[in-house]
Amino acid sequence: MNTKISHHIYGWLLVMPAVILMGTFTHLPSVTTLISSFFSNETKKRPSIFIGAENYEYMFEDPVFVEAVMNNLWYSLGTIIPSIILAIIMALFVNSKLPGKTLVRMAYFTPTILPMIAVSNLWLFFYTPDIGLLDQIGALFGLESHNWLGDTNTVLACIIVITIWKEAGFFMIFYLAALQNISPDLKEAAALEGSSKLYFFRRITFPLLMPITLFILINATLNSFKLVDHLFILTKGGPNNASNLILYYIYEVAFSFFDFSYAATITIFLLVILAIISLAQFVFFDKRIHYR
Amino acid sequence: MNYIQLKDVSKYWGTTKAVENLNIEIKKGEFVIFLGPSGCGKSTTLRLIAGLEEVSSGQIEIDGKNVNNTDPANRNVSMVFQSYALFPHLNVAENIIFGLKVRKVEKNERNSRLVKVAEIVGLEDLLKRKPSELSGGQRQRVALARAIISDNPICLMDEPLSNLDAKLRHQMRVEIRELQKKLGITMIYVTHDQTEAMSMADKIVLMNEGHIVQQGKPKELFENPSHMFTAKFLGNPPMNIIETEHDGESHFINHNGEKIDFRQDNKKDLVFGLRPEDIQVSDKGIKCHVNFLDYQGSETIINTTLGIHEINIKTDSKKTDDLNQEIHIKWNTKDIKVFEK
Repeated sequence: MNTKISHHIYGWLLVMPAVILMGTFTHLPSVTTLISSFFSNETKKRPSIFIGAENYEYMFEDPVFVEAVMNNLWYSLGTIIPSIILAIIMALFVNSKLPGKTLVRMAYFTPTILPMIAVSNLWLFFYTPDIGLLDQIGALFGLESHNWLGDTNTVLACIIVITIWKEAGFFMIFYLAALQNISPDLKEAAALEGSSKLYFFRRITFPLLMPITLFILINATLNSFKLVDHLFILTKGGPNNASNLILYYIYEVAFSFFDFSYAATITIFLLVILAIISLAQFVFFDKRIHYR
Repeated sequence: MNYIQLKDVSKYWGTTKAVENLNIEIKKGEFVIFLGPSGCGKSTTLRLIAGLEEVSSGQIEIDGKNVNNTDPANRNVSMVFQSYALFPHLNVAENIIFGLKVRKVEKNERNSRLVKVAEIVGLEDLLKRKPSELSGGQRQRVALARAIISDNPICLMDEPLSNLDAKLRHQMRVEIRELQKKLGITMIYVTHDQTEAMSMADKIVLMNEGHIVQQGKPKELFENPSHMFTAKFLGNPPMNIIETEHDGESHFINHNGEKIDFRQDNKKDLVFGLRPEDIQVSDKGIKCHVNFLDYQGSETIINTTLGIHEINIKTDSKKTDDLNQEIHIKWNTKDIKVFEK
């Protein structure tokens, strides 16, 4: 056999397992989703027909969808930046000379290893009116009982706090690893020049942490669209959709309302948003980040 | 008047001794080298002077003032680290002017000083590069530039040349020495390389196990070692140490059943040293068996046995061409160094 052809065959055989797996479980479903978003929902009486962009037109007029998008925007803003800042502060703290720092590191990391459902149950105990921890502490200071998860004004903030609590410890581990990679000589060299700790952090430590920050930023952003497990336990998107997020809404549309083609439409919307965010972050940050 | 003075300085890590009772006096503009084997405390001493470590006891004075409790930044010292400690994300120019920016030096002055220093160390064309795009020698120059741009009168160097290859090391040695003289900096330089110490220093402080063994001019240490440690540490190959037998009046060596008088002295507990270059191969003298030759270019080291000791003899390579297995050696008695046991 021609050696050039046999090389090709070898090559294809080698990538085949990955191609098959990725194709079957990632690309094919994506394409199917895209196709079904252009068709009407199939019921027993009416078969599915091609309706063009009608689903998309409906989507932008759907008030619940618009609210879910807005909620998700606040949820992203509220979780990403604070959890990154918190992660850096915790990492700096447990990287310093601290008695029992292994214990503190472990404590910070614990929320990460808990499943989101368990976390939700834990926080449910905090948020419950009257008997919950928050209200009990509030009562000590004479504050009135408050239904934290039942109030449209506070429910999203409550969800955000849980997510930060869950994520920050995980991000801290990455920052801690990056901090330990920075040579202590740099700190001493800067100290000899009279640089304050804050100045050193701003000019040296933070820029050197940038590659990790990019990585975490992407992860945190994806998580803010992906992490909705706690909604199932705590709010089910309520009250009055005040804590409804895009992914949870997709679940509702698909498996409560059984409108699969509309769910596919929102899924495509979410896919496009995430693709744009990832791309923008890479392009924007790549120029500013020093990779060693 | 002493510019830098260490008085009974000690440093302990918990109960472990790092350095103990150091007394060092350094004059302004002097080039002082802390020399010693790994772990002798020379780097610790340097860090104590820089203020990166606190002294456990004793006093450090710079320019007449006690600086025990002074911040590193306010001790008028610059430092070049063994790793160079360059900031990897900043380019050469930003690395050099880092300290000036911290001290809020005005931009125009910053730039003019940068231009001047870059010219001195020969980095004019590399100012926009990142440290990762530089060779070892160039990084070394950046570290040097960062140290001298501050105009600090004192510069501390912690094994600055140990990451360079032999040829570059020699070149940098000459350049650092010239720079130090030109700028009149008081330089304290740590190394374990005796050649470096010999060729650069005005004064060597030889250390071992946290103590100062001997300090003085390179020539003094080489010619008049006060301790056997100095004798063994300096010189390449090191001084031959010879232990003798004593018959009440003089020291002698039992060489192949023959009694060879070594030195007259009533004192019994003595050890003698003889530099390899002070022993000559000649027609007459003590007959010795050649163990092996170590060819080093212009010189050859002859390894032979005298009494119970293996000794080295340094000779001109040209004279070793027609060497037999048996040679005759002699030395001048005035070259013998005497140490107490």
